[in-house]
Order: sequence, then structure tokens, then C-alpha cells
Amino acid sequence: MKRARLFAVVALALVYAVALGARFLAPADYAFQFREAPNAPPSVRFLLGTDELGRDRLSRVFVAAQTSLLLAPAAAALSTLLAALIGATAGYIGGWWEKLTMAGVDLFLSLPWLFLLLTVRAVLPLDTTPALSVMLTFAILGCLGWAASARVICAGVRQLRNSGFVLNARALGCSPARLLAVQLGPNIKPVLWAQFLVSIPVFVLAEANLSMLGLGVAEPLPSLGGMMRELENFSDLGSQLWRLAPLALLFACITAFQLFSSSREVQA
Amino acid sequence: MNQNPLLSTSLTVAWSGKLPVLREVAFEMARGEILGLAGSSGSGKSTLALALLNLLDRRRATISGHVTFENRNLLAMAEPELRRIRGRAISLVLQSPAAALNPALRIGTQMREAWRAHQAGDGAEAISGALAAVSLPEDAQFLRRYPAQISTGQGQRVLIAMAILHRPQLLIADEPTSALDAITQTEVLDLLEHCNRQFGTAILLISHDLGALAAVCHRVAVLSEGAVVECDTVERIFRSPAHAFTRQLTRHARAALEFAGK
Repeated sequence: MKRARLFAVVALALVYAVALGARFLAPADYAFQFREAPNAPPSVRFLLGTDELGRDRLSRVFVAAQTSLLLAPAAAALSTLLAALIGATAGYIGGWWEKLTMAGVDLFLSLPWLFLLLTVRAVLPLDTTPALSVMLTFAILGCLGWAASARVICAGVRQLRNSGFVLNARALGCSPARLLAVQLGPNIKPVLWAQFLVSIPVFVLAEANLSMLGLGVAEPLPSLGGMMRELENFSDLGSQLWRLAPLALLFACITAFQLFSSSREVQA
Repeated sequence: MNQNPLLSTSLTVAWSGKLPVLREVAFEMARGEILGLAGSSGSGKSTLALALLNLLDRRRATISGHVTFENRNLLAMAEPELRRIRGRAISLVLQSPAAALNPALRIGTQMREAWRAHQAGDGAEAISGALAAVSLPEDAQFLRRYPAQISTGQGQRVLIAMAILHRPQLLIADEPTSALDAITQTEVLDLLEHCNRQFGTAILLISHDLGALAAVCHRVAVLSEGAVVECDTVERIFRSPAHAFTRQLTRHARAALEFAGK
């Protein structure tokens, strides 16, 4: 487990280093079209070839990694925060409020997630600037992804609500807000951390799904999902394996995140 | 008995849909008095301790009667007002420090939280005063420890230190010695007696251990099957118990006390 985790940490650190330095490391501008060389195979000039518009694939993969891997944790942080607020208050207050909240969570969880994402994204304007579309996509993911985490956090807080130290704090006259923040907070921190880590790969994948359907990050800004739209054209894929680069990166990142978060859970 | 008692109660508590756990439990406490509450396990002692501070889950427990503290009925009070009384005018020492101390917070943080519940600032002076009163080290190193890093006896002292931080008029101690070994038990009882003398804190000492009650209490109330069957001075409870349950309860304790020459 330890070796797997080390591998995951090194892989993630590498990918993040590339993602953060994408604008400097990329050999070309991600949007620049080399009109003379569309669909070029890998060469010294274009290490991963070019797409059908003649844009350098390696540069686009770098920038896509930046988009996906920086905003997914932001969305995960947003959804964990929402889950913490909703789940912790439901678990602490209990009674009919908890039942009502959990009924809402069940409703959220029973809806097909991708369908919900599609609906919400389709309602919002699609003809926005690329930067805004990125923000919008991940904000939606963050706002819709809290339900499962809220249930876990609610269960954790419900268990702690009846513990001796909560009773002691109440007997000392602590207010409910301080009780939640100071007494319960540190006790559910491992749960929050685990939920945060588990959400990241889910959001990277969700963004990839949305973008593949054209509802995510807008062109010309690349994202891992958006770049996979190229794969819709199956012809000659076997002889042009370099077109699978974004998929390979996505697969590697998700695996690394899973390895990292599962080993963290074991520790916590 | 008293013109102006600190606390007087008449309490009936039932868990939803069941027979009452406490049936019109009535007693009075004077200022600065140590009252013992004796009873076997399951007689409703802990329920009473929580009910006095209105800490029972009102969704599950039906409480009727009154708990009059300084001429105000705590059972009729709103939660924010109750919070100002809990921990400041009346405090509670729970049975098990292992459960009552937050495992994720340092001792110092927990003491500071107890202080901030009622007063501004970090209360450093009051905290070291309270720790000194319960003979615990007041140094930074001790305050940085987590509950798992101190002994049960020290944990019980920390709970008492938190409880006396705001110099309450009444301290309710629910089986404060049951988790401790004999020597530490004696130390904690001495400590409670010391707080009573030094600060004039009235103490309601709940215990199944009559020997412990006889050692420090002025009066003892005996709880049996959810009702107070007898309430009298320690002397009379032991010399001439009126109720059959009290006789049963005192039989062994009396032998021990006679052996000890008390």
C-alpha cells in the first residue's frame, strides 16, 4: 500500500507540475492552428502530432491537464463544504430536519447524475467565453456533487451527537455553532478529507463526460474530456495511437487519485 | 426545610411511551450544602443529573414538574437562557473522562472552550487557577496533551477543573469516582470537599457508593425505583434508616464504616 501511495504521489506531483507550468512548458500556443499540418503524426516538431485543425496536441494536453486538474479539486472543495454544512447540521439537529434533508439527499442520489448535469448545464447559457464555461462547468459539478458526501458526514455527526464530549460541552454552556465548529469539526475532519479526495477523480470524469458531449468547457480551451471528442472518429485509431494521449493521461490521473485517497482512508 | 433553598425540585421523567423513570423526585438543597444521592444502578440517577440541567433529549423524554434554581424554573426556560446558566451557575461533572473529554482536542483547548462559553478572552489566569485547585500541573506542556495522553484520574480532575472554572453555585457530580481506583477515588472526593469549602459551591454528589457519600456529604437522599424514599442527615440514614431499601443499601456500608471506626 505504501509503495502504491508513493507512486501515486510522485505521479500526481509530476502531472501537477506540468499542469501548473503548462503555459511555459507547452511548445506551442494551444489554440494556434498550424494550417499546413492538420492531423500530423508525431514528429520532432509536434511530439504528439496535431489535431484536425492543426493544433499541437502536446500543448493542448498540457493545458487540458491544467483545466481539469486544477478546477476539479476546487469543485471538490466546494461540494465537500456544501456537504459538510448540510450533512453536519442535519446530523446535529436530527429529528424531522434530518429526515427532510436525507429525503432530499435520496432524491438527489436517485436522479441519474449525468442526466441531471446535462439538464442543468443545458439550461445555462452555452455561448459563453471559454473561461466562463470552465468556471460554470465546475461550479455545477461542485453544487450537484454534495449529496453522497452529505450522507456520510450526517451519519458521522449523528454518531458524535450522542457522545459524552458533546454532552459535556452542552453542560458547560457551549453554543451549538461553537459545538459544531470546535468540538465536532476536528472529529469529522478525517471524513471530510476522505470525501474531498474521493470527489476529485469523480469530478474530473464528470467534466470529461460533459465536455465530450459538448456541454462542458468551450472551444478552443482544451479539457481532457473535450479532447476526447476527437476519439468519436474511430477510423484509423489503431494506427494513430497518439490520439489516445488525453485518455491515457485521464486514466493515469484517476488511478493515482484513487490510490492516494484509498491509502489515506486506510490511515484515517 | 429552608426559607430560600438554592435548588428545589419535583421531577417526573418518562422516556416516550414508557413508564416514568423518575416519579416526582423531590428534594431541596441549601447554599453550600453537599447532598448525596444514593441509589442502585438503573434507578434513574444519571437521568436525574441531566434532567436538572434540562439536558435530556426533549424529543424522547417527557419531563414534567419543576427544577427551581434561585427562584427560577429551569424547565420553563428557553435554550439560550439555559446556556448562560449551564457551566456558569450550575455545572456538571460526568462519570467517565474517557467519554466526556473530546479525543481530538488538547486539554488546553477544551479548558479555553469552557471559559469562552461564558466569558471573553483566553481566561489563562482562571484556567491555571482551576487546574491548581484540582492539583493538576498548569504548565504549557500539560495543556498541550490530548485526553489519551493523561490518566483517568487526571481526566476526572480536568472535568472538575472545567466545572469549577466559572465558580458555579451548584456542582452536580454524576458518579465522579466510579471509573477510578480506590486511592484516586479518595483524592477526588477530597477535592470536591475542598471546592465546597473554598468556593462555597453546593454539590449534588450522585453515587451508588454509600461509603463515599458518608465520607463527604451533609445529607443523603436515597433514590429507589425512580422516587426519593428517604432524605436525611448522613448520621440518621446510617443509624436508623426508615425505608427497607435504605436498610438494604446501608447494611454493607455500615459494616465498613464501623470497621473504619467512624
